[in-house]
Amino acid sequence: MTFIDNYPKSAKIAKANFLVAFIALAIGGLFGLIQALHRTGWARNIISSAEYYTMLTGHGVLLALVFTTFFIAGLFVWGVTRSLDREPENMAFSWSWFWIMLIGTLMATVAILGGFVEGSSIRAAVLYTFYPPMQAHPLFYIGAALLIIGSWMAGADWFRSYLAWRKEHPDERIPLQTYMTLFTMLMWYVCTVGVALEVVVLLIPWSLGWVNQIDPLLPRTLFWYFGHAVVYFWLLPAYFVWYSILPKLSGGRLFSDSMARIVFIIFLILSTPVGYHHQYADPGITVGFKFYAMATTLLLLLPSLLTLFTVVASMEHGAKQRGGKGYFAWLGKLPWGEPAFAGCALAGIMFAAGGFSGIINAAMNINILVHNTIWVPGHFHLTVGTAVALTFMAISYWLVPQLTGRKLKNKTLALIQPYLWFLGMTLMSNAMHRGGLAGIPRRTAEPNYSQFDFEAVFGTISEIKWQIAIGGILLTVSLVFFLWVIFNSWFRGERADKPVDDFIPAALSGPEHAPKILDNIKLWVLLAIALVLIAYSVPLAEMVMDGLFSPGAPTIPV
Amino acid sequence: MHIHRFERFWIGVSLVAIAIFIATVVIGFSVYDLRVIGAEKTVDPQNLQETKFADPGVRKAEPGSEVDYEVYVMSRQFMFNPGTAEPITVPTDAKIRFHITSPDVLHGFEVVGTNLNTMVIPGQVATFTTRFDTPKTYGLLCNEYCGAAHHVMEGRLKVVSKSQFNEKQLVQ
Amino acid sequence: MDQVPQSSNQSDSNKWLVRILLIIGIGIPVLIELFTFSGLVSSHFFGEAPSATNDRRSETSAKENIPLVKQGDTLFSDTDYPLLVDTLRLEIYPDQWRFIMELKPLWKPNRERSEGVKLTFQNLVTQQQSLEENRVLVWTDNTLDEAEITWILPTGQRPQNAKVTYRSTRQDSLTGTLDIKRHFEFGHVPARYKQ
Ligand code: HEM
Ligand SMILES: [Cu+2]
Ligand SMILES: [Cu+2]
Repeated sequence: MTFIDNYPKSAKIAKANFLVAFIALAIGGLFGLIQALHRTGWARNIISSAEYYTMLTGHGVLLALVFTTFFIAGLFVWGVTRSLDREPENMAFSWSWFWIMLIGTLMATVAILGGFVEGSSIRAAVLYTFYPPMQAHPLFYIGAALLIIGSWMAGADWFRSYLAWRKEHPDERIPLQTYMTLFTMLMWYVCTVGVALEVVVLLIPWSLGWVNQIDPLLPRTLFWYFGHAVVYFWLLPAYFVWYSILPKLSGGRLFSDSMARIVFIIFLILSTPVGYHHQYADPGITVGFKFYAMATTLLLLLPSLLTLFTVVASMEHGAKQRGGKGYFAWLGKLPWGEPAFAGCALAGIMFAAGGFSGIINAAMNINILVHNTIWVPGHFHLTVGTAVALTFMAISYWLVPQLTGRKLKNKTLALIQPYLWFLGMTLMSNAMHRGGLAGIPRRTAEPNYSQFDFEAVFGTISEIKWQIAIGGILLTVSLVFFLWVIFNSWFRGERADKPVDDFIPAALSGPEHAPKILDNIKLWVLLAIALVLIAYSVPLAEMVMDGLFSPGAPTIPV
Repeated sequence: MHIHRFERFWIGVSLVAIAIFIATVVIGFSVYDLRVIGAEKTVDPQNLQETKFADPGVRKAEPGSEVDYEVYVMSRQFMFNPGTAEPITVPTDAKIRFHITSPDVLHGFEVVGTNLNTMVIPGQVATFTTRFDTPKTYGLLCNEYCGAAHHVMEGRLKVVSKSQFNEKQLVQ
Repeated sequence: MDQVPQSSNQSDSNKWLVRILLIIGIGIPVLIELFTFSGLVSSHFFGEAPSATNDRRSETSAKENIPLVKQGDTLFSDTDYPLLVDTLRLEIYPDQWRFIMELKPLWKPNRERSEGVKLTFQNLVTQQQSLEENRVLVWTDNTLDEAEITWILPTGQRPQNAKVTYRSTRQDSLTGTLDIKRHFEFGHVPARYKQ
């Protein structure tokens, strides 16, 4: 018996979400390869340089917004169902959020892909940050709004399950996986308020032509109110995997349940008031608020460092169960030959590297050296592009068999895949960081200029380009392996009663050791709201006071 | 709640590291004068002809000003004025204040290889002060996506020695 | 409780594969990062500060051998009848990019000596294609008129170079026609957005 036998309805909706996520990953990854080849000049004839920006919009939206959101939804359906031992309260409601998210996604995707059709007026080459006054077709904004609304309903669905469970278990601690789901979604509610206001109040009326000017700074600020927390919306589900599944995959048990809860609380309260760290280089925002955001950002290192400790300690415990010894020798006893484990572990290592470059980004006066250079994509391909995406891919090797009741096929390919991703990403991201130090800009189809040349700090610019192109190719090969293994297993795998060992043992130090206050949801939400108000009320009031749409810039369609 | 001895140690180390990072930035600010852009003033992006941006370029600062030269740069799809057609030319050993804005969409203003790097936002004026010690020509580029020809938006910033600087070229 | 690792009996081939993967998949990345680190450190302590000048043009790529055509340049200044590049720009429309070049004679041709000038663009090469259409500009008599050529390019295409022939016909004792074939390289063409 595995998940699909116990909870067939949940399995179905989780699979639907995964299917959308993997399709988005496939298209987005292909776009990534073309971008890497175009930027570096390896192949400038696949698309034109004007279309590059349409493609980059597709890459950002399909990977950072669609792939992540759908995968997370599927993962949380699985986690809430199994940890509460109950299927969703009302399947019609569950399917309705799935369809709303999907319709929104399709609308936005059509608007973006319209940019490849010559003469089409349906275009959305505004990139996934869609800063006005550059304007996309209304379909794009409406689609984005639907995706967010659907995700809110999904969160409501999990809260419903929790409340129903609570009625039957008045005195029990919230099971860890449900706890992590609820706190992630609470953070999501707090931060999506910003982008929802931006899209619904400002951008949709403006794109429909009801108002004809827009203040560029206000929507940008609302976007970044959401834009940093969204990275934790991607990351926390990876933490969910690292806390609740990875210890088991390494053969042991979670080190401390209460530490996991504390980490999620810190993320809930600190994730949103840091958005200005994406606006260090913006005129129009007082340095004091930027400073507050910076201090908060660096404080957010704490929960990640705590996670590092707990996860490594849990893996060590696992390795010692398997006969590992010594201070470091135990590392060799970890199941490096298991694709799900290897992928998660490699993702974790890469996240540590991403953390280093993140500290540079966070330090606001150093940030100016790399602001909007290719350094920045170099950084977040380590975080969202690997820590998150590779964790999701790796854990799929363990989840998809449970959801389909079929064994994993092509195990060798599955094993090579995460190592290949790790290698490709090192090449690409390392070169992107170095290119950024030389001043090469991001989001630029042809970073070659006629009035000056870039000079690498060491090595040469052409070597940097080589590295990006080769890295991009290896990543794409790895992605093809992944898709092949997953779809082959999903549709042609051998049926089995127990396709994977899906038992998750209890934590070494369980919830009985965690203070009750950690489960006080209301308290933590109020604290989160208070910190957001401190960071945002004054600057937003200043921007709104001179009129919602002014100082108004004229609309520029793309 | 029980926290393992090693874990307590780790938390301590983490907090110290975080404090050091924050201190680094503060020291950069106060000792090395590494600053970031703040809130200066807003303009109406549809009425720039009534401002100094109507006649962009390098100007001599008003007497009594804390700087020597003021540079007004208009960043627009897809050129810097001045900067693209002719370089922005400034002298060494002078305090120079840049004012940059845009009448259309967001742009970036990046002087390649330096920490002169700012967003240019319609409705806002990005203002920063700097000084150059040695004559040199720098590349200038837009690093915020601004439309289909974003990648052609470039220019130059030319620093000439004080003695060679021709004040006749200044905007009056 | 089920804590027994499920994969302790990996086959030998798998063991080898894992070993190779660890060496390649983690070893190479570690080497790359070490190289980077030592490169950064040594350039910080021993290298010169990075410079962003363009003063190294001469030593860089071969395209510098042919001077780039820019607005304000004088073309064929080695002839009797030089042409001034009055405008060189790229106009960006949503569905097409237009490359516009306006040329103007620097001075009136000497009627006695010259019949005028004919300039033929045989092609225009962009990043992705070559537009093989002849474009002809002719100046005769005393015209100092500006002449404009517009190429309609697909969006995203920037002009790279063009093959041109310049023909001026002289009537003085030197007589005959002067035919020059040149290759224009366009460098940075300023772009403007149009709607
Ligand atoms: C096949 C693997 C991938 C390749 C080759 C690739 C390549 C690239 C390149 C070259 C850029 C920079 C484009 C530019 O700034 O001009 C980029 C941007 C980006 N990538 Fe990837 N990428 C890959 C996978 C991913 C994944 C898995 C994610 C996230 C889940 C991701 C998220 C992003 C985002 C958010 C951007 C920024 C888009 C923007 O600036 O608007 N990429 N990618
Ligand atoms: Cu952020
Ligand atoms: Cu730009």
